[in-house]
Amino acid sequence: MEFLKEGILEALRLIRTLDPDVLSAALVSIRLATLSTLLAAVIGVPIGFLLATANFPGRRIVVLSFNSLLSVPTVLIGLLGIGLLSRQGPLGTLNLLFTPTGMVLGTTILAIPILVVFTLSSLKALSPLVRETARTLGASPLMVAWTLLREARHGFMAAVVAGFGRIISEVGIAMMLGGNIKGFTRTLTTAIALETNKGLFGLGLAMGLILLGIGVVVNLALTQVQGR
Amino acid sequence: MTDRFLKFSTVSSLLGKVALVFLIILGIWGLWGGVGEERIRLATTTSTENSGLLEVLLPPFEKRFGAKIDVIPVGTGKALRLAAQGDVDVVLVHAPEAEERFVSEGHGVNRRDVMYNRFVFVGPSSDPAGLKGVSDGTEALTRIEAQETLFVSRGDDSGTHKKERVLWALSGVNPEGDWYLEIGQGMGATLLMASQKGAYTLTDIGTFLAYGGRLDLKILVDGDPRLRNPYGIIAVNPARHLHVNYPMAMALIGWITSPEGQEIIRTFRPTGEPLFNPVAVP
Amino acid sequence: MFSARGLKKYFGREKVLDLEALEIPRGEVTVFLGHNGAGKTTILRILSLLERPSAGTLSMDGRPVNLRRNALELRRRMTLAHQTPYLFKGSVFFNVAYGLRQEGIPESEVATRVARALAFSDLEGFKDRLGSELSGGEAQRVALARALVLEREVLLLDEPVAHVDVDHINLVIMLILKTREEKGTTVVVATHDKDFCRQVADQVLHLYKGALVDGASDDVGPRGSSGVLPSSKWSDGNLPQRSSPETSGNF
Repeated sequence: MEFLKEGILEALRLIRTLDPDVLSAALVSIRLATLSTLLAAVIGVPIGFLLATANFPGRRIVVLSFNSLLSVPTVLIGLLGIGLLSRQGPLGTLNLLFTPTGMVLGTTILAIPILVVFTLSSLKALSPLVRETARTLGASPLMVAWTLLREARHGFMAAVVAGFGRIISEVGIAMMLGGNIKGFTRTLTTAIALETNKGLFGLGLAMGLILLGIGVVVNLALTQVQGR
Repeated sequence: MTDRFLKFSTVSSLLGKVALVFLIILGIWGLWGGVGEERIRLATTTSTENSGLLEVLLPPFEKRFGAKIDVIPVGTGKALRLAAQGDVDVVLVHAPEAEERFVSEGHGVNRRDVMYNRFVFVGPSSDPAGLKGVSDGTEALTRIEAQETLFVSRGDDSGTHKKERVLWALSGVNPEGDWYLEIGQGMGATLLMASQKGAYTLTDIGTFLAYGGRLDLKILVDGDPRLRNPYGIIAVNPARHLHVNYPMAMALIGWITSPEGQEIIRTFRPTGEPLFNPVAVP
Repeated sequence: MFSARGLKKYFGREKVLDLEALEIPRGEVTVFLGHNGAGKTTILRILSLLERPSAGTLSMDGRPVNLRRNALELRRRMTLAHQTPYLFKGSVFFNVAYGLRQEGIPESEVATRVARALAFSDLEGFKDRLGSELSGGEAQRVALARALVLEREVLLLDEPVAHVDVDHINLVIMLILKTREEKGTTVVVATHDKDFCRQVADQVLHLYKGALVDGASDDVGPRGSSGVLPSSKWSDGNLPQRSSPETSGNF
């Protein structure tokens, strides 16, 4: 394919010249994914922890729901988001549609089930001895919880990586709730959609490669933090 | 006595924390950095944004009025829906009937004609339906239908799609059958598919030119006045949506229809030939 | 130290423990002797407050144990080392320091106490090793060091030499006797190993199918407590294949 070569050369040129449009889209993408993943972690990890450790009626149904939500189409979240955030919607007065905050809301909702399910499954995979050992060594309930999460940190890191990856690679929510506003809510993925539509495959491919690069860097960084 | 493991763990966890804090700051700074600037929202069609015209037309306005225009590129139908819901302040689209309905239903006010560009019929150079030399858009469709040669339709309620429906209605034939492909996608995807399949399609000249040599398609029918693609700009009705930035929307309409703005449109030539014909100031 | 009345534990409908009366004196080494499934682990788990009895009362120092009121405070008077210990991800040092850090002991003191505990357990040079790299016996000694370093009033050990290699069994015995001698620690051990039992026990309690039974007093322990299980009971069906009672422990 002609445009593969063209795309790779274009990607190198864009990176070398720090093309302002690409840079801005890349920054929006990174910010969006970082903030949403953090928010989703803050919300999702305690839910996952609760589902893994507490027993209450309806727990199985909640777990099942989160599992099903893993495969929710992003356009569905986008549509729900528009319904909520549009001026005519219940949250319309907040004026969040076509703002970064609106996108963050949507992609956070997208990532929460990922964080919940990964946290849940990695805690479930732990030996029951973890909790007992921590207790017999005098850990307070809070420290027991912390120890469980610490022991399950590989799963937790995997959750963060997966959530980040899902957000940074999705188009539907960013397009529908962000509006693809250049320099403001245009992410790499919505820019790719636009460039492809223009027939500028090389540029689209170039941004796709940059997206891939970000994914690799984030993965490496998190593996580094995760340590042993 | 310092413990080597302790030191290592402290350093690495410190690094992790620093990275985390950095990312949080980056995130928050990035997302709320733009607050404070006056922003107005212009919903427009993807093809308008794709043409690159707005990148030369809007910055002088932003500079003069100290405002930031958020351009939201969507299909014409969706742009008008967003405007009807009050989610944008002003729309720039190309679908005269829909625009008129939009105004008459009270969603928008102060519609102005801005410019037009043109639609063309494109198809494979072999031209099985024999469109070459035809200057009448409806005649072209009648021939395509008669031969049942492949035709790719946007099928997405866009301005281009609306124009195509109008032409079919005028030609008096009904596009039905295996040869008529409604794909529900943007102009670019439609052109690509037409090129791949050796099919005919209706396209705006701007997108077609932007694709340049990538397509196995030729311009076959051009110049019919009914193939004009007129653009209008409309402010969202501030009486219906109290929150819209009506003064700034009017200022933008004023700028685009001013002699200065019209001159920018007239001289905009991304591929060497003029793309838009300004019509606001005679 | 501990006393219990009418202690029962059910798992589902199966009764795994039924002790009419139990006394564990302060400052002594009490050994629960019995084979797999006799309820040794269950009684250790109840004493270490990991498990609640299904019925009966447990008292510490004459006061009934109330987990709702002061579970953490009670738990911090004792510690338990599991038969197959779980080592936290991270180094041996991290593991042994874990309990000390829970009590907010300053890092410098943590370092010296951990170093001392590792030295006693013949684990010098192990502090940077990862838990996952250790053999079963080494892990068990780390778990012992992790428990001993806390210097708790009560030390509960579940099969403390199950995985320990022959060369280190005497070390474990020595550590148990030493902590009782020097700190007055109350040690409660569960084991099936009569040899080991004889060398550490002040009091031997025989467990058979969840109940305390009398044993022949001449069979176990120099201190001549209750003795070993009648061999008829040892030979019934569930016997572990490797260590039949006729060959293990008694000569």
